[in-house]
Amino acid sequence: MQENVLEIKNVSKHFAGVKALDDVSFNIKKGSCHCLVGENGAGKSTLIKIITGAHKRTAGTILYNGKEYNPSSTKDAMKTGIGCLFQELNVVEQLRVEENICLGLEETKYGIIQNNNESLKKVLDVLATLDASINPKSYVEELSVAKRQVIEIAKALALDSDIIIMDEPTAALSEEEVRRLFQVVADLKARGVTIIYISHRLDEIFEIGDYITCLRDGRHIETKPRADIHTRQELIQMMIGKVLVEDYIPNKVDYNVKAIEAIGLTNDKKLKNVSFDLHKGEILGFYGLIGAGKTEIANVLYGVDEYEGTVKINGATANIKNPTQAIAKGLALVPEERRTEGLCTMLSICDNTPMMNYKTVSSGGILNAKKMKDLADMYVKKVVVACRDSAQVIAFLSGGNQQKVVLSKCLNSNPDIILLDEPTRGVDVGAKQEIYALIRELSEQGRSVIVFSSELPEILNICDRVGLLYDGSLQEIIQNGDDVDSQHIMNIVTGGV
Amino acid sequence: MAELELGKKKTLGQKLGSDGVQNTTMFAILILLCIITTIIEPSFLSVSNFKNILVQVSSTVIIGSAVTMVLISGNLDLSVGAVGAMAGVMYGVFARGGIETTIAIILAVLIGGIMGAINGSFVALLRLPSFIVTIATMYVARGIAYIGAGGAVINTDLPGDFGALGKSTGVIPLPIVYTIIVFAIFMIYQNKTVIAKEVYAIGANIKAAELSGIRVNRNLIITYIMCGLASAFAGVIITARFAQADCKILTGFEFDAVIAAVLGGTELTGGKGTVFGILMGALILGVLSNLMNMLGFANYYQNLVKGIVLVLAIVLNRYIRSQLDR
Amino acid sequence: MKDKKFSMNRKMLQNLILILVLIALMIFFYIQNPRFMALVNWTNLAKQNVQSIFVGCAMALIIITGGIDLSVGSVMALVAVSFVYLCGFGINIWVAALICLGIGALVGILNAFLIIKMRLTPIIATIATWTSISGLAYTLCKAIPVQADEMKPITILNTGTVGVIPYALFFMIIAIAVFMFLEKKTVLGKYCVAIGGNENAAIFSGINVDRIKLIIYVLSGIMAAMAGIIATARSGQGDPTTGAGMETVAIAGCVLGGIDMKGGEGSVFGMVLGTVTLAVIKNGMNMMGVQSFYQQVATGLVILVAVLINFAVSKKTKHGKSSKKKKAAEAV
Repeated sequence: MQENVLEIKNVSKHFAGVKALDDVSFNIKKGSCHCLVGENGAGKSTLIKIITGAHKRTAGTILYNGKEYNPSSTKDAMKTGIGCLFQELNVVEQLRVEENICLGLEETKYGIIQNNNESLKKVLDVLATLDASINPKSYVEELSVAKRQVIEIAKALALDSDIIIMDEPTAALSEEEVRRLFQVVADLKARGVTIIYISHRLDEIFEIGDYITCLRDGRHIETKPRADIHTRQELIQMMIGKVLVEDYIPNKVDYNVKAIEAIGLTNDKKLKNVSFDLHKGEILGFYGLIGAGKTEIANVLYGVDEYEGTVKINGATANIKNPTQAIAKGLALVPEERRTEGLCTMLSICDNTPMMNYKTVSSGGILNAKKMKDLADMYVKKVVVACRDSAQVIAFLSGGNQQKVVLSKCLNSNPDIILLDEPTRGVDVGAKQEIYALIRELSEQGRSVIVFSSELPEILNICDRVGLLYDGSLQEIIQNGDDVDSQHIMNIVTGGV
Repeated sequence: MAELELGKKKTLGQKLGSDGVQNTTMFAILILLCIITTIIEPSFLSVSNFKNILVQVSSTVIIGSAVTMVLISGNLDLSVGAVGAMAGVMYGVFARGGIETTIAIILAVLIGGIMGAINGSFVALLRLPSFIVTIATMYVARGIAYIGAGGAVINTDLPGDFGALGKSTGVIPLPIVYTIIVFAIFMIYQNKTVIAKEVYAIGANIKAAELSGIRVNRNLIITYIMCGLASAFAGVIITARFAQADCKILTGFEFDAVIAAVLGGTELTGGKGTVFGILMGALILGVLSNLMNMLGFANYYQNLVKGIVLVLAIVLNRYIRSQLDR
Repeated sequence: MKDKKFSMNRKMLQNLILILVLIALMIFFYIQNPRFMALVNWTNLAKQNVQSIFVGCAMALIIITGGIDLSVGSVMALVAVSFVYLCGFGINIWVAALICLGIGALVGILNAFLIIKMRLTPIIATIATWTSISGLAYTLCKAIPVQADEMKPITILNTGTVGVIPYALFFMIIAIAVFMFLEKKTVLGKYCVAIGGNENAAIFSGINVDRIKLIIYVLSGIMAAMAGIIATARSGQGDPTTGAGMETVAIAGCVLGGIDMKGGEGSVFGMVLGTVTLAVIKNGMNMMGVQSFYQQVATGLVILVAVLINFAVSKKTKHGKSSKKKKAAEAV
C-alpha cells in the first residue's frame, strides 16, 4: 500500500571524534506523518541536516523514492523535493505573501514577471486551503509566526516538495494555531506529501503521528506505528532509557538563606506565574525542552526582559532593569548563545575576560596591561582553556574552550548568583565534565547557581533541586536524589500531568 | 584544536598581535616612502618641509584620532568637517562680539561637544543609523557655519590675539604642538582606559557588551562627544592659523578622516583599529602628497593615487589579520 | 499572537504622509510667494533636478539591498569631462554619449568587483572609487573645464521643450517609469527587497545575489553617466566639479522617501517623493528669499525628522517580538 519515500540505511555521522549518528536505519512511508523523538543530543537535528543537505553523512545510504540520494547542498535538496521549516523562518518580511511563496520561482520572460495566472492561482489555492484567513496580498511583516509557518509550507508545496520537515513547529504557537497546523498536516497527507515531524510534545505526536522513530545518543532505538504505542510511558521509556544519577553529590546548601525569591513572574514572553526560591550554595536546575521558558526566566532575573511579579535578592526587592544593574547586584549570566551573546569573538581571551568587571584590572578607570594579562593567564590555567596563549582570538577556540572563557568572564565579577543557560551546548564530552566540576566548585564557594538546560543527565548530575518547565509554566520542583523518577520528569516536561 | 601551549615560544608576529603588526608595517611603509622621496628630491629632508607636512596633517590627526574611536565602536561620524567649520566660525563670531579670546575658544569647542552629544544621543538611544544621522547634523552644522559667517569670511573687527592660538612661526608651530598633545591624549585614552576597551567590545559585539554589563549608551555618547570636541578644536586652530573665520573650511573632510583611518588599519565594521594607525595613515598620505607635489603631480592626480592606495591598504590589512588572527 | 490588522499597510502610509507633507509645503510656499507656482519656476525646477532623479533611481535600488554608492558624483564629473573631450575630437555626439554610458557602466563593474569579489563594505569600496575617479576626472582636464564647440548641440537636452513643457520633465518621467517598471514588473525590484530584507532567504530561494548586485551597481554607473551628460548640456562645458555632493542629495532623497539604510524597505516612488520634497523645500526657500545657509540647516533638520518618523512608524507596525533586544547601532 504505502511505499517508502525515504530509506535510511546505516547512516552515520562523525564530527571530530564525536559520533553524532551511529548506524541509523529506518524507513519513512510515503504520505505519512513520521515523528522523530528523542532528547537533546539524540541526533535528531544531525539527521535532519543530512536529509536537507546541510551536512554530508560519513557513512551509509539514503534512498529517495528508491533512488540514491546524495544532496550537494540545501538548495539541491530543495530542488529534489525536500522542504524544511526551520526555527528561523526563511521569509522576507518586507514582501507580500504571494511574493514570498514564489520567490525565486517566478515565471519570467527576459526578467519580466509574467502574471502566469495558472501556476500562481494553483499555489494561492493551496494557500487558501491551508489557511483561508491569510490574504495573499498582505505583507509578511504584519503576520504572526504561525501564519509565516503556513507561508513557508505553501512555498514548499509550490516547489512540489514530497517531504516537508517540521522542526519543533509548535514552539511559538498558541493552542488554536496548533490546531490549525494539524489541519494543515492532515491536508498535506491527503495530497500525498510526507511529513517528518520533530517535537518533544508527546501529546501532539500521539495526535498526528502515524509512525514514531526514537533516537537516543545517536543510535536508532525503535520505529513503531503509532497504533502500536499505547501509553506515554512507553514512549518516554524509549526516549530516555536509563538515566544514571550516580554522579550526583548533594551540594552544601544553606536552606535558611534565600539568595533569590521569585514570585509570580509573568510576561508576554511566555512566562506564566513562575515562583521559586534559590537557596545559598544551592545549584538549582530548570529543565524543559525547547520553548519551555528557560531562557525567559534567565532574562527576567538578569534584567533583559520586562515582567510582572517580584524578584527579591538576598531578601530585598530588586528592581533590575538591565544587565549592568544585575551585575551590580551580584548576578552573572552565561548566555545561551556564546558566540553572539557571550563573547566578542573577534577579540582575544585577554580582552574578553575582564569585560564584566574591569575593576580587577584597572584603577581609577585606567587599565593595567600587566594585570589584564595576568588575569587572563590565571583564568586560562584555572579553568583550563586550551589555547596558544591568552592573546589568542576567541573565534579560533573550540566551543568548550570558548564557554570556559565566558565562565572566566563571569567569575571575574565575583558574583553571588550565577545563571548558566545551556552551559554545555555544543561542548565536547571532556570539557563538559570540566565545566560541571567548575559549577560544583562555585557552590562550594558559597555562591548560588541556576542551571537552565534541556539535557536531563546534565541537570540530574549537578543540581540539588530541579524545576520542571512546560510552555512557560513551572509545573513542579523536585528534589534530586537516588529516587528521582526520570519517567515522571519526562512526562511533566512533555505536557503530562 | 590547539593544545595547551602556554609555555610555547611565540613568533614576533604573535607577540605583537595583528594590530601591532599592522602598525609596524605601516610605519615601515612610511619610512620607505620617506627614503624614496628623499632619493627623488633631497630637499624633502629639511626641517621646514617636515614642519609643513605636520601642519598639513594636523587636522587629520586631531579629528582622525576621535573618528577612529567612533569607527571602532562600529559607527561613523560624517559631521566632523562641518562641526569644525561651525566651531571656527563661532570662534570668530564670539571674538568679534567682544568675548575674551580664550573664553571664545572654549565656547566654540564646547559647541562642538554639544553637536557630538546630539549625534551620540540619536545613535545610542534611538539606534538610528549613524550614516544618515551624521549627514543630517553635517548639513545643520555647515548651515550654521554659513549663517555665522554670512556665507563668506569673518576677518574684520577681530581682536589682536585672534590668531595667537595658531601661531605657526617660531621653532615649533603651535598647531603641531596641539596635534601632538591631542594625539597623545587619544593614544593614552585608547590604550589605557576602561572606557576605550569597552568601546572595542561594543564595536565587536554590541549584544555581548550589553550582557556583560557595559553601559553601551553612555560610552557611545561619550565617543561622539569627544569627536565633536576634537572637530571643533581643529576648526578653531585652522581659523586661528589664518586669522579669519571661513565657513568653507574642512569641506569634504569627513571622508579624508575615514580614509586615513582605514589606511591605518581601522575597519569600518568595528572592534578593530588603533589611534596610532591614524597617525600612520595621515603621515603616509601627507608624505605621499608631498612627494607628488615635488614630482609636479597636480592635486587632482593625487586623488587618483589616493584611491588606489586605499584599496591596496585594505587588502594588506585583510591579509595581515588573516595570517595572525588564528 | 494575533495578526496585526492594518487596513492600509505601512508603505502606503509612509508615502501618503509624504504626499500630504509635500502638498502642505507647496501651499505654504505659494502663500509666501505666489511666483512659486509660476510656470517658469516649475520649468526651472524640472531642469535643475533631472540629475538627482536619474541618480536617485538607481541609488534607491542599491540602498534597498542594504548597499550604497558614493561614487556617483565622481562618475558624473568623469563623464562630463570625457564627453566634451570626445566631442572635441570629432566623435559624433551620440556616439560620444554612448561611450560615456559605457564609462559609467565600467565604474559600476569596478564597484561591484570591489564589493563582491574583494568583499569590501560598500561604503569603503565606493569611497575608494569616488576618490580615484574624481581624481581621474580632474587629471584628464588638468582641473580646467573643457570646452568644445562640437558639443553644443547637446544643450538641446536642457533647452528643448514640447510646447511649454521642457524636455527635462520627459526625461524624469521616462527614467522614473523605467525604474518603476523594473521595480514592480521584473524580478529585479523584488530581489533587491529580498536581498536587503533577508539575504539568507534570498540565497535559499536560489536568487543569484552576486548577479543582482552587479546589475544595480552598473545601472547606477549608467544613470550617473546620463546625469553627467545632462549636466554638460546645462553648463555647456565639461567641468570636473560636476556632480559634487550629488551622492548626498541622492541618499537624502531616498531616506526622506522612506528608504531605510538597513535595506529591505522603500521604493523608487518613495525616492521620487523624497527628492521632489527636498527640491521643493530648497526652491520654496529660495523664493522666500531665505539665504542658502538657512536652507542648509533646514535640509538637515528635515532629514532628521524624516528618519525619526520612519523609525516611529516602523516600530508601531512591525509584528514580532517587542524589542528589548534592540538591533545594534549599524555602521552602514
